[in-house]
Amino acid sequence: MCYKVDMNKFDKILMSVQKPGRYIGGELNSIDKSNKAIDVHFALCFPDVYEIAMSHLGLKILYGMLNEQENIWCERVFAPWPDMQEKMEENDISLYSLESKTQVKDFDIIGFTLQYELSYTNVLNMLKLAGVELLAKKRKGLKNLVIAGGPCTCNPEPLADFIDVFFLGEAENSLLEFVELYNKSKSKKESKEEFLLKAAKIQGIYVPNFYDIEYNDDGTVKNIKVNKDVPEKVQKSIVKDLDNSYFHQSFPVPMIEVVHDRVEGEIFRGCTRACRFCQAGFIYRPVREKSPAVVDKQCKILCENTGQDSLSICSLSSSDYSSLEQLIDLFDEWTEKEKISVSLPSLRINNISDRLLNKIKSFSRTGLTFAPEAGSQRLRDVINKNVSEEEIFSTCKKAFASGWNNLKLYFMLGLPTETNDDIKSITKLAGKIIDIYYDDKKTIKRRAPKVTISTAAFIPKPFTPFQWEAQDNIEKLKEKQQLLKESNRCRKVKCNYHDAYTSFIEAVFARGDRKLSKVLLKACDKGLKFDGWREYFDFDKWLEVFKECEIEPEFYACRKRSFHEVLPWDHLDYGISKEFLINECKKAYAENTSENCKQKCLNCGASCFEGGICYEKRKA
Amino acid sequence: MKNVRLRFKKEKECKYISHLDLVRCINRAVKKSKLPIWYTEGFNPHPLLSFPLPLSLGMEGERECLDIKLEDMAQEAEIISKLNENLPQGIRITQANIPVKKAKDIAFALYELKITSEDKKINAKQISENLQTLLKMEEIIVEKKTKSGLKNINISPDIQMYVVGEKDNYVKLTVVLSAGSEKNINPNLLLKAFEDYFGIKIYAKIKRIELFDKTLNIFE
Repeated sequence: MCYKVDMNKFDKILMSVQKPGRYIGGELNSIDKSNKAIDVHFALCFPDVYEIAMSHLGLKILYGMLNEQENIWCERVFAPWPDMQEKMEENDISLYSLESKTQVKDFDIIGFTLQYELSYTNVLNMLKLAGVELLAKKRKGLKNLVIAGGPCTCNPEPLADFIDVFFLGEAENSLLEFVELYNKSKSKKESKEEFLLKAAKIQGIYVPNFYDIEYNDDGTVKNIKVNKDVPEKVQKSIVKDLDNSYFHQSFPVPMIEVVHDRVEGEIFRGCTRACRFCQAGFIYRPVREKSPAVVDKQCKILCENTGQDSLSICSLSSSDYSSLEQLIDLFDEWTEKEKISVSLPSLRINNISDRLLNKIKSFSRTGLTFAPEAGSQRLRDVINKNVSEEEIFSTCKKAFASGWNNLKLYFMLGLPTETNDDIKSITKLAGKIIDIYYDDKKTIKRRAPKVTISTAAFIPKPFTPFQWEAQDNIEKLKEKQQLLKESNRCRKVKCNYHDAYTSFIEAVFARGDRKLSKVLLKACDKGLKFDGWREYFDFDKWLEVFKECEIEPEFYACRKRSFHEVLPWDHLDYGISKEFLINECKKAYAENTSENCKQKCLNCGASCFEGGICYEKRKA
Repeated sequence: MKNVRLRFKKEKECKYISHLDLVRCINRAVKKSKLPIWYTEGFNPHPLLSFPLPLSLGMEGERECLDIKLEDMAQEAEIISKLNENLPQGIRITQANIPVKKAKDIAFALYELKITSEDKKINAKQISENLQTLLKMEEIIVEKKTKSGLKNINISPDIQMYVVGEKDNYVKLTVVLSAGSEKNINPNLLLKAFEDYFGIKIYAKIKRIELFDKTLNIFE
């Protein structure tokens, strides 16, 4: 270890915290370029603890991609657990990278991935712990440029005051181009503004400082105007050809236990289904698939290079992958021989063939999870889930007959137009599924079945037909959770629900604007962090923060917007037209469903990228 | 089928990973090495690894021991290089031989401790003097966590031999303690005893150097 701090002190600190293995690096396949001449030193920061960060596929892709460039050194930086942070602060140790233990404030570019809104305080906290100035406008020069990517960049406005550059969409193309441009500007000793003006010309690059927001008296956005010669609307960047885009062949292998210690094979991006609550399905459009032969090859190489014995496919809706059976056949040829277990998550409840079910069974015997999302057909139609009760029962029946005893079902509470009857339908549905188990003469002889209902609060998200909806306030949500619990009459059905308080905070930031930046600053001052973790989430402190900033959080979470309102993300273009979303919203209220991309093109707008399923379909 | 005894170092960053983490690293390295490892039969085939004496998290190991079964013959040099290629730098296989003794023959272990005090007023000389006093005592009583709860035990008979060396700003203690499946004394107990008797908080970097059988011959 070459950290520039008293090694004895550091050793003592590591021995006094939980899981010191989180902070040491030294893993097989980690990249050490300390003896090489590099031009750009890049800190790839995941704003959560090691075990979460090391399970993230996007991190693996970018780490490999950047390090493949000889003159770029990309090192990992993760959020220290609060016990370690306390020790670091007591001993004047600032945030450092895992590979070389270099202080983050010595890096050229500091890049964060924004996976979920509750990690925003961790982003600020990490910058604070690194000794890097939080406010973008106060950071002068090119050193310590702070950038961010990931799904939350579709509305990154609450972080606009802290981040210099946001990467909209997928970073495989835009990031490399950006870093190369940075290197040129650095050698020419250009100013930060000169560099950012050039960078803004790259597809997907959004420099928040070049946009001014004006507000109405009622707090809504009046307009969003550019203050430099940059596009009025920033369009996201996508990778058109997934087969030929960069995919990593190796990644540091964690020594300690992490959440997902496995190889992940991405099979496609985007989703054809257009479920009306789902942001990911829309912001990653158009749907682009990878060929099964390519996925198979990539997974094989990764398994060889990491020695991991577990493989999982990754997508938003794996049973929609057009070559799923083919891919499974390819996996069959080597995974059993190499003693690698395969898991197939993210399956839809209504298109699991018998053959697929048998395959899942042969791979592993973990529980099956499906997401009907709503208990009644009426509400499923409102959200455009396009799954009938018949289909649910048929799949559960098949699953039971194949040997599964336990099923997990995900639902949401607080969906638009939801009634008490809809909520009671959830437990009714679960009860009927238990009946199906006992109806089958074969299964009745086995051990008792268990259906676990897991509910989460609906959170309206940008770029969905429900982006104008109000989230139920916390009292209402708790009432609904209570109603659900009381409606459950079956001992073999278990009801879990996700905490309403965290969902409320998530909803505030999901559709937040720049006025929330002072909230984040104060939250950071008050030591709020790891909000996604039950043991650290402090709702009372959040309320204190909002009060002191004179911000009403309900304005963001629980207010229904009109279609005419200027939304804080209107200057960001993800290819999904507002007209399409408005139309889908109206259809929702009329309880009408919409077809998926494979059945019929609904003109969502994603065809503007001239790639993927819409372009292929148009050609046909 | 061939039984092979590997000796390895656990040091640098890897001193901070637990025994279970170590097992995971070795399992993966064994798999990646493509050595002719013998796999267990049954539903979940895995290599048969056996660690006669696990090392506590935080301690370094100079000649740790791991027994493994191979299907076929393989040269010692090949085993060592193929495994090291696939292990993190902090774990280094140093030897691969046929086991001489049985795992249960381990009776003692040699540890090297570098001891300093948290209290700046206490210097190496004082630690050294106190340590010598403690080690000479007939009865060194300390609380040990056992399967049946906390017990007070006397660890004096478990100290086979020791050398206390006073350095500039730390004390080097080289000590042989009882080790193995029958009786195992963790050097941290000695440190705890010191703290209990003298009321001085001390801190040590601990390295296990060697293993011995009950006649104090090196365990091979």
